Formats: sequence, structure tokens, C-alpha cells
Amino acid sequence: MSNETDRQARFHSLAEAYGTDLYRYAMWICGNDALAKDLVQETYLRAWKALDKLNDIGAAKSWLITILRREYARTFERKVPKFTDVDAIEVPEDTEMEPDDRLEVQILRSHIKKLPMKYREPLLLQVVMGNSCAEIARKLDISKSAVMTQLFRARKQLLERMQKDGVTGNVHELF
Amino acid sequence: MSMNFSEFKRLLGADPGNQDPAFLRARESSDEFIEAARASGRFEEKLNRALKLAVPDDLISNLKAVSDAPPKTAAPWRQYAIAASLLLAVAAAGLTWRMNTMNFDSVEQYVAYHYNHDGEKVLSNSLGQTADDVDAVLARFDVTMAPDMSRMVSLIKYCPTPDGKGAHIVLNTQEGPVTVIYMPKTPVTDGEMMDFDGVRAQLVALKSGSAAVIGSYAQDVSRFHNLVQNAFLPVAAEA
Repeated sequence: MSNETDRQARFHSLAEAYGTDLYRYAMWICGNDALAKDLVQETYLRAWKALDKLNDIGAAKSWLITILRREYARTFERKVPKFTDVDAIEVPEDTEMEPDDRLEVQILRSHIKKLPMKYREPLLLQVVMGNSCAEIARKLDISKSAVMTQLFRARKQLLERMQKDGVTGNVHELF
Repeated sequence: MSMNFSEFKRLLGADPGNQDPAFLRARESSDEFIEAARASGRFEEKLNRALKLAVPDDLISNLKAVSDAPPKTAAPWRQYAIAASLLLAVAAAGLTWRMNTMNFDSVEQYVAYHYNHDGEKVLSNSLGQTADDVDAVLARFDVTMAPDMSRMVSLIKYCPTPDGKGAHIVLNTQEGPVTVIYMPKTPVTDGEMMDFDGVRAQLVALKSGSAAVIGSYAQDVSRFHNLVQNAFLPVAAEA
């Protein structure tokens, strides 16, 4: 296998391994499909250009998240687009769910959108990207205990809001 | 010393997948702890489903295509299969290109490569669609679109151009769908026509940047020249 072919194969494996989760992460932080696709595309474009600097394939996910977050920040340095209103997030239907489950998930999604970014982002990094609290702390440049507080509050807020909607059963009493 | 229930719930809410031995022991320590862990599990399942948004079918293939762009070592463009069928109706007129990651020798080569890559697919995806995010996408370039063209847009998305980011637009016209590739930083020779792979394109110089209008031979893309040339309006800088 030539170096270029090997390089391309490594890149394709990164697209397959993390592309989906990065798109979901981008969607939940920016709230617009076109921008989310653009953020992920730009992330991979930068990753392709700098792939030779990635010595540890185990660090690839963290590396890609960092690129995407920088790209997102860069976008908002230029101008805050009008479509960042959380209500603009389009949530596609999942046809495999039962109607009751779909309704519950839909309501939960509407509350996730409304979470303040300081709570939403750690939650996304943990649940969507599979990061540990320590990894999130490094990424967000805050302490691990602050991350844990934000994660706890994120879940607590979601449960309280679900409780108001009467859709959590006995789960809302958890916290 | 065993973990109290309050502390346990706090950890459960912050990190339900925590593998700390003390936490794992606490999970099984009494009915109260066990039930809390089960309730947390039910909530995490819902949370996972809620966050698991549907992903565009072509996402991964589009990401992989990032590595398919021509390599940095400039090769004669005839080496590329797509470029092999490119037939210029008018010769390129001394354009100078700032090459970035997409190393094209000319805007004509880029347009043909780009359209060959996903032009047909984007056209088929646009069928029956109405784009409601035209201004949102164009905001990145500090332009907005004139209403007489924006009401024809059935799809708009970001795309790479020889000079950075641009937009791939499909217009729903009376003659059928027409593709417009907006290149905000790329200069062209206005009105230049080109044929490739069974389609015809016309380059349109804008006040800032350019566009390529691509359609079938039957559509006479030159009819859209003025519409496109007047469509991209600068947004006044905010105070």
C-alpha cells in the first residue's frame, strides 16, 4: 500500500468512526443542518490537511472535536447567524419508535435545545461523543468538579422540565 | 466508609457510567440505591434516543470525498477523468488562481469536477423541496439573495470552491432545475460558456466573486445570466 493510499485509508476510517457523532454534536450546538454539515466538512478538511501530525490514532476523536469547536468559534467570531435560535433546530422523525416513545423523545429534545450552552455542551460531549468527565474538563478548560456539577444540573433541569410536562413517570424523582 | 444516598445521586446525575469501585458498590448496596440506578438507566436510554438525531445519508461519503480532491502536486488536468471530457467553448482568459486545498488549474476545471462529484445527486435531492435557509447560508458571505431568485431556490448548501467556501444552489425554473455554484472570492471572465459531460455552464462575474450557472443544453443557461448577476446583494455592515 502506498503512503498516499494508506493516508487516505486512515482518513476514511476517521470519517466512518466519528463523522456521524460529530454531525450530531454540531447539530446540537449550532442548531442548523446546513451549518452543522459545513462544520463537520470543514473539520474533516482541516483534518485531512493535518493528518500527518496525528501520531496517536487513539487521540483522533479528541483532535476532531477540538477542530470542530475551533471552527464553530471562528464562525461566531464573524457574525452570529440569525438561525441560531434553538427553535430552528430541525429534529428529523425516527420512524422506528413507538408513538408514545416518539412523543417523549420529541419533548425531551425540545428541552435539550433550551438548555444553556454551559450545560448542553458537557452533556453532548459525554453522551454523544462518549467523553469522560476528565476529558470534558480538558476540552472546556474547566475543572473536573465543575464539569460534574454542570452535568448534574443539565440532567436535573431536563428531568424537572419533563416533570412539568408529565412525561417522566417515576424518573423525575431521581434528583 | 460507604457512600450516602445524596452523594450517590449526585454522582449518578453527573456520570451514570462511572466505573469507580465505590460507586459500583453503592449501586448494589440497598433497594433505594438499586431503584435510583434503574431510574437513571431508564432516563439515560431516553436521553440517548433524544440526542441521536438522524444523519444525512450522504454524510460519510461526502466526508470521505474530502480526500478525493486532486493532490497537491499539480498534475496536468487531463490526467483527471472528469477533466478529460471538459471542452471549453471559450478559452480561459489569463486568470490567476489562488490555489488552496483544491488544486485546480482553472475555474472551468473546478466547475466540471464539482458538478461531476455531486451535481446530479444534489439536483435529485432538491426535487419537491423549498429552501428556507437561503439567507442563513449566505450570511456567512455577508450577502443576501434578491427575492426574484431566492423564491426559486429549492436547495442551498455550502460547498468548497477554488478560493474557500461557497454555496451550491438549485433553482427551480420553468425550464426545470438549474444549478448555480456561488464562488464569493473567485474572479471569472463574465459570460464564458463551457460544455462538459452533457451539460452546459456559463460563468457569471459578480460585484464580488462569481457564479457558474449549469443546466442542460435545452435550458439555455445564458437566460439566467442577468438574474444571477443581480442576485447576490451585499449585507450592510452592522453598527
